[in-house]
Amino acid sequence: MLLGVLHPSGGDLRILGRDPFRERLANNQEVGVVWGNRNYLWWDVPVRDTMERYRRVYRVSRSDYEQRLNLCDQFLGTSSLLHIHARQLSLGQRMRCNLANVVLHRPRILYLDEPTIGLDVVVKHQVRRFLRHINREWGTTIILTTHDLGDIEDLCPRIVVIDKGRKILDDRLEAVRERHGGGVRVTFQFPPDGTIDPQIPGLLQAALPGVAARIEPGPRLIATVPRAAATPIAVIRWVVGCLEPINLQVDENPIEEVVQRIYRGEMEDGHERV
Amino acid sequence: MREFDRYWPTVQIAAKFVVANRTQYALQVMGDLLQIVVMFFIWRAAYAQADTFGGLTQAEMISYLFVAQVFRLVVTHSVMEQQIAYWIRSGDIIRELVVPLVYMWKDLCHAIGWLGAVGGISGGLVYVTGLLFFDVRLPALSALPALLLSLLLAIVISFGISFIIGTLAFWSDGSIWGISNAKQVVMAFASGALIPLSLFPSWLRQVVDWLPFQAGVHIPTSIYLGHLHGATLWRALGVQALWAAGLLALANWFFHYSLRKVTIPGG
Repeated sequence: MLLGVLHPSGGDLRILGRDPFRERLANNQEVGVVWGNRNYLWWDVPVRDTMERYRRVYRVSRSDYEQRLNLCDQFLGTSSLLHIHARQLSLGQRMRCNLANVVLHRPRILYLDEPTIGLDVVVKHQVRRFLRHINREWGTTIILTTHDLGDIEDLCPRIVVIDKGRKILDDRLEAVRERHGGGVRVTFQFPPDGTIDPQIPGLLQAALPGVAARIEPGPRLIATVPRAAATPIAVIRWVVGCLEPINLQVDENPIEEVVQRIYRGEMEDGHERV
Repeated sequence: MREFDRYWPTVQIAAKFVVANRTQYALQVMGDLLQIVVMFFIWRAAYAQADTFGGLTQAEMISYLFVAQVFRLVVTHSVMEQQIAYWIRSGDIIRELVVPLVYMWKDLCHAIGWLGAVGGISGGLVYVTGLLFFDVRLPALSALPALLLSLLLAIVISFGISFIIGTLAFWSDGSIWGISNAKQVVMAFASGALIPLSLFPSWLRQVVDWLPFQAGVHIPTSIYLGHLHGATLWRALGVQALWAAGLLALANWFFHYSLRKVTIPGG
């Protein structure tokens, strides 16, 4: 719909002041899109040929083209891939090339659908670093859909959560953390051959209201501590007072857990549902 | 001309694609060659009984046989509509709907580059074989401009038919295999690629004359052999131009109508 491909059944939509369905070609010139599960490169020709075609389709001058290609190489290491036939590229290589391809015309808006799907950590990191760069340097608006919440933590200042076609959240990432998942997670590691008394989580929760605790294999005891409820110090003191963990770790509550809670509708009292 | 520059790279890259797989196309043409050689012997046996068939002498018939096959290879290929349908079925069509090109023109460019290269390789092999071993005659130099124009129109006509058939993939959950095969058979006969249209009984000839297929092979072949001159030549080119324009208009309408029900599998 945002790309003007799907026929709108109703309503009004403006992208950069245009109706993308009526003015699809003009809209296409200014946006770029990558689907993580799709290949954009012509299969049986070298990557460079695909890019050269894009350059001319979008009417990018040769100097701009070379300059942007250099930028892509710097972040994504693409220059060594240009002479390779697309069918011989690995998934990660292909994704890097797809991304390089789509920014050649310096789109004002970049739509990314699961850009890091199936990528290894190194490539994921490269991709995120590159996106951050063009967002800052070019002012490119990036609209990202993803199931990988690491993408969100790394990239997005603003988050929209959609569940069954309904927008259930639209806020700054920091604010979301504060409200719905604010706080930290404390993980206690116990000797691998030992066990944790299954009553412990209940006791901990009773001692420090608001804290959520659970046991995981390892064995580990994980306590989620909302900012308002208690301090991690209090949790640590309580646990160390009655048990003997061999190690402990304190993290910011991962956004993954926050979103899970939002989906389950477990929002804290006093906050309206969007 | 500036718009042209947006489209030309598609012709180039499609041709490169074929050149990258040239061995495959060269091997594929062996089947076509075998068929022509069989036809050659059948006709030679037939000409032992009579001097002309459908007004063609034996030498003319052999030339027709080869040239029509060459043009069929240049103008049409079953892979074309399968490819168009595949892009629709797989959702890959979206890749080209998000670039600033009119989709049908982009596909036409793809077809021109692709057919040009396939025709160059496969058609070239058949043609050279005909010239070297079967005394296929060369066209009159003066017929060349009309012939090139006619071939280009023939490609557009053939593309229009393929694009419409390919677009059916929107409506048939993607599979157009059956109708594509049926088209190939009808095309082979009704275009005059297998047998000269002058051999058809007059009622069938009339039906075929009202179909677009004959504008794909029969007309350019007739121009090549010097059967069309002056007014009849212009008339034939006019018929081709009308078919080309009509089919493109229909194809364009059908595509956009079908696109409204498009769904693209997401991630």
